[in-house]
Formats: sequence, structure tokens, C-alpha cells
Amino acid sequence: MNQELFIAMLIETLTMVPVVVLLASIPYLTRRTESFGVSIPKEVYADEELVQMRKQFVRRFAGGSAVLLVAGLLLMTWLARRVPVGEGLQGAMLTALPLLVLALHFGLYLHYHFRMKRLKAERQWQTGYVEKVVVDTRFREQPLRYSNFWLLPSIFVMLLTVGMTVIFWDRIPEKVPMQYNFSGQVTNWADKSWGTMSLFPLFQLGIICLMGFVNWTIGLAKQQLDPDDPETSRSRNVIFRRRWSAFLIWNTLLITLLFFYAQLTFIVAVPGFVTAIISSLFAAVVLVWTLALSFRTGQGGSRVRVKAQDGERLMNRDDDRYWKLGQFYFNPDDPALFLEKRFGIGFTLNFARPAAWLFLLLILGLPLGILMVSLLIG
Amino acid sequence: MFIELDLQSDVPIYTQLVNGILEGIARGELKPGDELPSVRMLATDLGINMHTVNKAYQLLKQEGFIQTHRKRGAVVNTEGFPGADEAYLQRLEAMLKPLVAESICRRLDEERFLEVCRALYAQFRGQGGE
Repeated sequence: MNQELFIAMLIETLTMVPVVVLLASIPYLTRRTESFGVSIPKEVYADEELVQMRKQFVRRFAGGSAVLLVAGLLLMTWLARRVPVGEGLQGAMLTALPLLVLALHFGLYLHYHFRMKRLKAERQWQTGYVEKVVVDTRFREQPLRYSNFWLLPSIFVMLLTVGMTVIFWDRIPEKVPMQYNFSGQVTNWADKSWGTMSLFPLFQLGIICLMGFVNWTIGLAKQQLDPDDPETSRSRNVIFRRRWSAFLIWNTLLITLLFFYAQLTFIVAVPGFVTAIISSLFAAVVLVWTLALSFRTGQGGSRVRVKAQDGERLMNRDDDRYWKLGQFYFNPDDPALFLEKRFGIGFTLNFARPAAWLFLLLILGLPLGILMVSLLIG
Repeated sequence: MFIELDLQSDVPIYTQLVNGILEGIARGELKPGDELPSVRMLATDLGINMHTVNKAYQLLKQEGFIQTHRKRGAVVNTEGFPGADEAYLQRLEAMLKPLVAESICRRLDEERFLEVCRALYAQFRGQGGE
């Protein structure tokens, strides 16, 4: 058991590494018109002080995370020798570490966010710039995302999972393993029933619906062009959306396949190490893909190489006042529901719109709903 | 076609929108029958109130530059644009008057003033040929 906890921590530490890399790089992945959640003219992005701030952020966050992870591992080794650690504590520790890393990230972000705000007030970068908003009236006439019909293969895998379960029902043992530990031993068993057997197909269905919905919002999200160079930023924005849409669709297929495999292990006995290898491989593929996509594309396509043009002195609309803490968009006058995150990759919500809260509830409620349905069937 | 808004300008946003669309038509980037974005979508992308976009579309419709269809939304008028009638000429004169006055005060001669107008005409027409 203690050995077990140490191995779990080690694996978690390893998977945390790419996550830390991604989080540390965010100042370099955002649009050039933003720095730590404060809008700036893009020429200022190269300012020596800002360059130093970004470097400092990376150093401090990477260093802090390393200390947290190593301290966690050391604590585990020490505990493993001395005290018997129960399941509950084990789970708590596995959850605490990522949460601590995220807290560190947000704390450091806030520090630099407020520093940026003071700097902006001091230096008055906006003077001499004209704030503009530019839109392309034909923006939505081109395909911005891949069609949700591409989710059909995932739906097919889900149906296959259901079909397989029904056909080979008799081969499923009376007690099925629901949870494994890291050495491949079963830690949680469940009785065979329609309820337990419908859990994975329901998860598949939930993921497909969620990804289809998120993919739909990619086409809907606000058009955010750089007024200084609308042509380039339009091309970048379209590439950004299409790549993430493709990522969503492929990942839905991967996840449904993983659940197909999980259901298969109920019918066919598979050695524990095979399962361990397959799930690690899955995690590795998703993590590497996310990293590669984030670095190659950047927020809003800011890292996509497109032939740049010389522009006038124009800057984005300064909407700092609508970004609470630089991260949460709250603008009752903006009809947009989905828009690009400021400090991060992907989209966020306009929290001044009631629909945004509904959307959040929906996403949070999905796993709960699945469990409820599974209990009802059982 | 790009529409650009200056949010610090004294010119109201709906007027800037009307002007942006008229310039698009003048340049030939918007042709009769071309669809304009829906009120909701344009307001979302610009981050402005839907009423503002609606007001601009209503004004353009009143003037006869766009039509609104139940299905296709706002479309550039296919039945020909209104001509420069007496009412328009009167409005044009009224709008030019302060500009001519200021030009005279700044000792800009008539020929230079007309040159600027010609250059603008050429600019719109030149790009329309593409």
C-alpha cells in the first residue's frame, strides 16, 4: 500500500511535467496585444521590462512547481516508511498537488497582472494610439470549424460498445472491476447490472455531446481581429479555430475508444499491465498533442506564421475594465457569449450573460447526470 | 469586407457602421444581393449593443441601400440604389457647407478642394474594378 502511494505520486509528478510546461509558457502563447491580462499596443510586447516579467514568471512558476512536486514526492517517501496511509488520504494527496500548482499559477499571475496594471498607468502606452474594432463581414461565410458529422465515428464506437455488451452479456462475470491501482490490482468491485454496464457508454455519449457542443461554440465565438493588420489576424484566427476543432473531434474518438477498451476488459480478461500501458499511452498522446498545438498555434493563432504587413498605429479596443482580475470577462453591453481567453488558450464566457452561467451548470452537471441515469437504469 | 469602428470618436457608432457599409458598396466590395451579417452576429463581433446595429440597418433600409428578407436577413439592394434626387442634393449641400467654409478660412483654394474630391472618387472606383 505505501509502496503503491509512492508509485502513484511518481506517475502523477511525471504527468504534471507537461502541464507545468504549458502553464509556464502561457505568457508566450497569448496574443501580442495582451500581457498578463492587460491590453497593450502590440509593439509594447517587446518592451524590455515586459520581456523580463515574462522570463521571471516562467522561472518562478517552474521553480515553485518543481519545489512543490519534489516536496510532495519526498513527503510521500517519508510517510511511506513510517505511517500506514489509507485510500482516502492517498486520494486527497493526489488531488492536492495539481491544485497547489494551479493555485501557485493563479497567485503568480495575479502578482504580474497588478504589476502590469501599474506599469500601464505609469507609462501611458495608449497615448498616440487610436483604439479600433475591425470586423470582416464575410468572416462567417468560410468554414471556421469542422462539421459535427465528423463525430459519427465516435458515435459508431459508442454503439459498438453497447452492441458488444449486449451480445456478450453472459460472458461478463458477476462482479466486475471498477477501479485499479497503479500496480494493476483491483481496488473497487461492482455487481454486474445494466446500471454498471451502461456507465461507460453513457460517459461516451456525454463526451460526444459535450465535444459537439464545444465544437459548435468554436464557430460561434466572437471574431477578434487585430485592427492593425486585419488580414493577417483573420487568417490566423481561422487556422486557430480549425485546428482546435480538429483536435476536439479526434480526441472525442480517442476517448470513446478508451471507454470501448475499458468495457472490453469486462468481457475479455486483459492483464493489468496492458491496461496500464494503454491508458498511459492515451494520456501521453493527448498531453503531447495539446502542447504541440498550443505552441504551434498560440492563442487566437498568434504564433501561426503568416506574412505580416506594416500597419498604422492602431490598437485593440482597451477593454481592461470588463476583464475582472484580467481573467473573467463581464460586459453586459457585449452580446457575445463566447470569446477568447486573455491569459490562456481557448475560449471563455461573458459572465454578464445569464446563458454563460447556464452553460457552466450544464458542463458541471454532465458527469452528475450520467451517474444519475446509470443509477436509474441499475 | 472589413468594417472599422473608432470607439473614441465623437461620431456615433451607428453612423460609423452606416458609413462603413456605404463605403463597401461604393468600392464594389459589397454587390447587390450580397448578404450582410445578421444583427446578432455583427453586434457580437463588434462587441456593441444589438440596437446599434439594428439602427444602422434600419437607416440603410430606409435610404434604399439594403433590403431585409425574412430568411436571408439583410441583403444589399438588388432593385437598384436610389438616385441623387433633389432631397439628397439638398442634404449634400448642407453637409458640404461647413467643410467649404472651413476650407476657405484655411485658405484652401477651390481647385485643391475639388482635387481631394476627385481623388476620393478615383479611390472608390479604382478598387471597385478589382
